Amino acid sequence: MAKEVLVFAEQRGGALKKVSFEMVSTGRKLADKVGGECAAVLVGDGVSGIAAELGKYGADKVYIVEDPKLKDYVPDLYAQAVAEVAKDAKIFIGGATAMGKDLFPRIAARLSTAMASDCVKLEAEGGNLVAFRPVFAGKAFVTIKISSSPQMATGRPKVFPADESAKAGAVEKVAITLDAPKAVLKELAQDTSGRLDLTEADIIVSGGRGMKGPENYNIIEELVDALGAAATVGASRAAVDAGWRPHSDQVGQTGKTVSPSLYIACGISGAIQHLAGMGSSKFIVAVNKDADAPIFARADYGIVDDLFKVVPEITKEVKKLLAE
Amino acid sequence: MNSAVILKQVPDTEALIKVKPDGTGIVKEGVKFVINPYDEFGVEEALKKKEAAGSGEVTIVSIGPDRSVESIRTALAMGADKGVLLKIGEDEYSDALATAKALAEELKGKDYKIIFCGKQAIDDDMAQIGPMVAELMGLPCVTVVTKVDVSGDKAVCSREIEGGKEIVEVALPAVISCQKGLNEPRYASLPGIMKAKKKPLDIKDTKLDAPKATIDKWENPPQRAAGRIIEGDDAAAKAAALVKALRQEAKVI
Amino acid sequence: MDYQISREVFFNLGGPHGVPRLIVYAIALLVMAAFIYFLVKKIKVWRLGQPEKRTDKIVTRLWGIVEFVFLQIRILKEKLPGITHLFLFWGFGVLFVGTALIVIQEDFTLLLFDARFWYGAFYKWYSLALDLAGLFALIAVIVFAVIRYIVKPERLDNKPTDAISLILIFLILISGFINEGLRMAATEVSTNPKVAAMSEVLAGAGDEFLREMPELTDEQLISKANENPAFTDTPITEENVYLVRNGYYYDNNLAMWSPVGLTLARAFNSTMSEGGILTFHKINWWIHLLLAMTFVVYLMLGKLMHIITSSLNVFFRKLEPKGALKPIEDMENAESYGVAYSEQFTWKLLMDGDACTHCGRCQDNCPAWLSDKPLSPKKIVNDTNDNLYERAPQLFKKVASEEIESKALIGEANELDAVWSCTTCLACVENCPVMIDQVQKINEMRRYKVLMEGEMSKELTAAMQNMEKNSNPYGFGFHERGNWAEGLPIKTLAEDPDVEYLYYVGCAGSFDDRYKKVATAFVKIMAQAGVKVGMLGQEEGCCGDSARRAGNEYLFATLAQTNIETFKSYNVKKIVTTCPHGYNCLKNEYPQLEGGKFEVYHFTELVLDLIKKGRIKLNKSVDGIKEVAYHDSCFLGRYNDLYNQPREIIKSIPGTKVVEFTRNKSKSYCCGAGGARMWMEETIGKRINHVRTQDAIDKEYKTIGTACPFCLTMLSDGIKELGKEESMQTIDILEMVMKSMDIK
Repeated sequence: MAKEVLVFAEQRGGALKKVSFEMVSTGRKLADKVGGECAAVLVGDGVSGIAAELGKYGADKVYIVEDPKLKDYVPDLYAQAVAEVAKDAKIFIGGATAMGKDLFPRIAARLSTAMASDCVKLEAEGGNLVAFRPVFAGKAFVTIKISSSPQMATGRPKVFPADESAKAGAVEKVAITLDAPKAVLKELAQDTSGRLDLTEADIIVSGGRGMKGPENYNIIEELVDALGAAATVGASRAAVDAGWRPHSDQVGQTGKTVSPSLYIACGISGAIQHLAGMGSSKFIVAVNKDADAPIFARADYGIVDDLFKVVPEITKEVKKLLAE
Repeated sequence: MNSAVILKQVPDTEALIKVKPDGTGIVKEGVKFVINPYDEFGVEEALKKKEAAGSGEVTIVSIGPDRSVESIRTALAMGADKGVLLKIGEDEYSDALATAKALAEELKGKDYKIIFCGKQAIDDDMAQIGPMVAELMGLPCVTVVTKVDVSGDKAVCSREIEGGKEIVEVALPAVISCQKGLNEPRYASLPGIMKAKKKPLDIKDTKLDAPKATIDKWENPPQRAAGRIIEGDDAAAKAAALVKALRQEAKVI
Repeated sequence: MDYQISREVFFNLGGPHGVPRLIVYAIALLVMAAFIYFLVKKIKVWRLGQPEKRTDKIVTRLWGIVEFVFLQIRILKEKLPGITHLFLFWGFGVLFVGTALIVIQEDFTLLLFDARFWYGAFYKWYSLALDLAGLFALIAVIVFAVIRYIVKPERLDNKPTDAISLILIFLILISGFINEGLRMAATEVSTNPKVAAMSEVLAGAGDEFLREMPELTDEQLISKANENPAFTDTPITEENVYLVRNGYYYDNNLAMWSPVGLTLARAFNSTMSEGGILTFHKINWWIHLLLAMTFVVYLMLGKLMHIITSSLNVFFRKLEPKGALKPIEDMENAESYGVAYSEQFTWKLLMDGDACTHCGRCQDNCPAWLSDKPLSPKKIVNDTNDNLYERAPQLFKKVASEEIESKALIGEANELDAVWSCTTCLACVENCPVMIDQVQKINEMRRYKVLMEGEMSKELTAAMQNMEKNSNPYGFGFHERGNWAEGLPIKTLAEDPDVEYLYYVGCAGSFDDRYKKVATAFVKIMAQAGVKVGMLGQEEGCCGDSARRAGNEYLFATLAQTNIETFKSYNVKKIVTTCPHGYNCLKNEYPQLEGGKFEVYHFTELVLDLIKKGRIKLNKSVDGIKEVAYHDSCFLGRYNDLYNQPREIIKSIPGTKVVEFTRNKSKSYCCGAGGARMWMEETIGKRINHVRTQDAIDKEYKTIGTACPFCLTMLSDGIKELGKEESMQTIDILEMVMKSMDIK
């Protein structure tokens, strides 16, 4: 069994996450470079049906571990199951999601191997994985090589392209006797805001100290609403520390690191720790009345004006455009 | 309730991080070091749980160079009872696995009901230590936790996931990695600061295993090309020009 | 005979040798004993407080008594109540001194040296002075009653003791006048023809007789008179001896010197018989005496106590720079910090509570109170005082502070929100007529919350952590501190230490985008004026003002000490600041620390000096600004008395005049950002900056001039938030100067 490259395929509620396709597609490229098979491992209850989707993105084979106990994410059991499949892989990668970040280090410890987290580039060189990843939330980057096996890494969602490359996607079921879990899921609570998580959003409109107070975020919310379901609200640390926004909205070194297609920073001067958290966004717009604000050095488009005047106008324009 | 907190000293969030010209690391001169903010939530939570239980000890365990003592003292000033520093050289490097092993070695056999740690350190951002220590010690682990309720030998934790949260029940002892929102770390009182100077702090010379993950090269982040400032007569004109550019040039909306 | 131009002591009550005099002395002794007993009791309570040295510079302290007690300088800051109080103080004071003079003659000079001074020309003026003093005091009491019970301003809270005190003084004055009127009716202007006739007889009795007469007992007088040939036709008996005494003082001319008394005397004479007058006098005299004695005892029991305590408070007032908070001594070894129990205040801060007259001027000028926050400086002082007296009995029993049952000082006696609402603007301190230090009190409570409990608002905690980590409250990386000056004609001392002034930029000049422009203007102005200034760049640290005023003395000391070391390492002598907070801190507070004495200037001092010397030439008006409403920064004005310098600078700009806010100079209204309030959310009541901005809107001012980064931020926000951006603007004086100098 030549498991050169193994990819963890994340599903929640029986649906594969987009990041799974991104990582399988990446695994495919690595396998082609290394010269071997790209396999995926899918864990859950009654998930055989969705395995074929992974083939579309280049998985030669999909290992499936099915058990009613694996319906939801149970860290110990998932770790046990996945480690069982991954132990003889050469390279093992997955998405740096809440689940991936929780699961991968456990497996690495189980298999006594090292790993690189939250990578933005994964390449192969001389048959080995070369991981490129930000440190200090993007203030610097490191290139990591791993000498133990499997060489493990997680990749940041929305960074790797999910390219289709149809493969067999043959399914192999793996039978494992699961231990008793030490931690059990009691409840899964969905966010009630109806907005996407920052790390999953395509467009983020963030407000900072320049917002002056929590009551003014309505103009940000209105723009987000106008931009559609792929957009969400963010905030700088200054705004979160002041209690204007919940910490889950915080973008930056002590908040979330995000890479949306469009990041609109309103009234954010661009403190280094904020830039660190959103610097990898594909397109950055800054609205700030201070022309010298550091954010403009990072922005693709800048508007030097009062955000309280500009943002409602942008909302109007966006509505007009999308209504066409 | 006895608990331990794994604490790392890291450069302040506002610190200017510059990669050395030879790409072997970052320039540490002029960098202000602080407690990893996520670890600080761990310290606070440990203190809260101890206060709620009415008894017990909070032990701070850290790996790092001599300067880490300062951060341990800060945690002691907040109210932790004692500290252990597994001392390594300033430029000594190993990977998370080796670090987790040394920590697990130090933590095992003690009567810690919960081992708190940050969800990640804001320097290397690996987010591996918590789950690794747990695996190595054979303990359960809940990561990215924003709420912990302890009752008897169990704890119910809320953890953040994309677009929601999971409520997890875990058997103690366990490792819990802390996320912002779990609590508001207390501001050390002045008597606390004074007392911290006299609290026990054990410094142990430590040799870490050779790393299995090695850093080949450090680099500065890629420079972004400077963008353009959108001009216009008034806010409305600027907004219209921006939306047009986003549609036609950037094609993001 | 000159002795006749006087009056009889204990007139109608047996004279100097009568029994009533002995009774009066006995009562006076008892009253004095009671007074001392109550005073000592107070002193014991004050001594429950912590030690503090307030006995240095005796001459300055005594001079303060002259200024603030006798001349009533502070009290006169409020016109009507001030003048009224001056009338009452001097009126009652003159009456007191007048009465004391009689005691001095009768019990000292006459007894020891057989000397009199209370007669003749002196007595005439004396009579006039006391008569008018009584009149003025009476008018003052009535005005006070009208203010207190008819006008009822919010600053006054009417307690029973206020009414009792006013009524007591009123009755003493009225009964005094009645006494005077009755006495004059029976003597000086008696309508009994026998009195006038006796006066004629006495005129022929000879000088020796007349000189001796006031000293004689009735018996001696009867025998001496009957020996005197003048009395041949009018033999003197026990029945008519009083006519001799009353006739002795019969003098219509003398009566003119007591106009009020004379008016009353005439009224009595036209309505009452001589017998009635004398009986009424006897009764009224005793009433007057008892009222006066009650007054003395009541001096230590109620409102009137302030006569004693306020004077003491003035004597023991703070003589350090008013902008400096008191440091915590020996922080390393202290066991507790700040104040959680009232007895932890120093004795002087406790005395404040008893010195307070409840006049409410502090409250009237308090920006927090006037914007509907729970803080009233008056309440802080009074509630703390009540708390002290609640605890005192147990403290005397040596019960430990923690075990005493009473309201908690912070949270119950004083609302926690009140403690945190203070902007430390010093309006209360500057406007208090009796030198109470409200701000130090509030700061001590903040110290307890912050240093002992680590408890403060989230935003303030974040600001303090920022100061700790990056030496600025904003939270920018400390390495970015000097970036603002890139490309400007200023170097760091590391590059060139040979400068005339160190420009201490401060956090706002270094990090606040708006204020960076002001710092830039300053550097350009100095370059143009040929004054060599240098800066510290990233070696500079936060001055610590916000930390200290928020109660974090430890952080302040750490920040200050670091700066002092840096200043010393470059051998800095003269420092100039643009931020008034840094200015006050460096000038008035750093000297409390070792090696912290430097010559510190604010830019308004330096720039005005350079204008006067012609090194700064102001050539043109600025952006068509014709008038500037100058908003006083608390830390320049009240803290350091720099009221005129900024105004002078503005006036020096061609075509520009200064207009005033209604509340200006020492009564100026804070922008809301002092006392670390800059770093806290303002969630209670109106926003202070809105109130201040509204002051300008009401006056239809277009341009508000500032000389402080905090004021600039707060008032700019105020203008924006009140929707006046189109018609109003803020500008820092330095920006005006730069533009007027035609610097680009």
